[in-house]
Amino acid sequence: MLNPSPPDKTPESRRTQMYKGALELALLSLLGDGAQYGLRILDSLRDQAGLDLSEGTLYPLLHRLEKAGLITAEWRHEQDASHPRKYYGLTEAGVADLVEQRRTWLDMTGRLNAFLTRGGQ
Amino acid sequence: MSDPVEIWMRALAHGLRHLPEAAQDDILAEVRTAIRDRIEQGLTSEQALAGFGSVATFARSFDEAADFNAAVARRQRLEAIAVLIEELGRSVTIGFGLVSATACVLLATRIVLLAWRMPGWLPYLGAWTLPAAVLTLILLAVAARFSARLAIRRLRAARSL
Repeated sequence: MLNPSPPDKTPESRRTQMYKGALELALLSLLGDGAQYGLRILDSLRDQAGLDLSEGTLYPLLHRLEKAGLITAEWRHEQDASHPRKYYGLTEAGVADLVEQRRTWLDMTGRLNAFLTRGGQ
Repeated sequence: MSDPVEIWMRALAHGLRHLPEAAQDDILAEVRTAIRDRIEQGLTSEQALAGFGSVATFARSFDEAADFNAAVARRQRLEAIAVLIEELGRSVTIGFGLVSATACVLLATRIVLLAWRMPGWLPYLGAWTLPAAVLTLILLAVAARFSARLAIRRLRAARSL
């Protein structure tokens, strides 16, 4: 009998799969604190949320969320910067979506955590 | 002109050529800024570019297929079909599927009209005509469905984030 090839179950691949669901929420939450540009977003998500994503993941996601109307972007040349950067912030729809996603996430993870630790496991 | 950043940016521009010009310019400007930021942080050009991964994959991820994935996920079939039509020029599979689907609809319409308007003519067409038409219809429908599913799978695999 042929068995399907085993899925990649390294800790790294597991984290990557789990991150995918949380990434959009974490990004919207970060932008809820104020507009940020790409590199600052990468650093903040890595340092504050433990999400070590790459530019290759972040920029297409930002592009998709902008097209979806959840975030907006503008070029700014800050005084202390050597060049203009593209800053992203939440739209009203993004704020509403963040509230909804956060509620869903907290409800889901709360229940799941309780389930996973049932009986003192 | 052996600057790896410029070579990479040219490849990215080529990969983004299907997007509207304003979107291309905006993405290219932002990516160039991000690379510059990384280099100012002390990374080499190669290290700065490594974060973006394969230039072809990176370019594809900006494509309209993101809308397509969302439409399929929301089961908005008309929107998904609209994106498939937009992708028509770049995929033989999608082209075959849409041609099959169109032929399927035309043939089905023809059979219904023939049976409805001129039922008396059917016996004169030969006993094989109607079964052959129905069989062709089924084959076209299967081909269209198979092509659509294959195209959806490929688009999702190529452009999922």
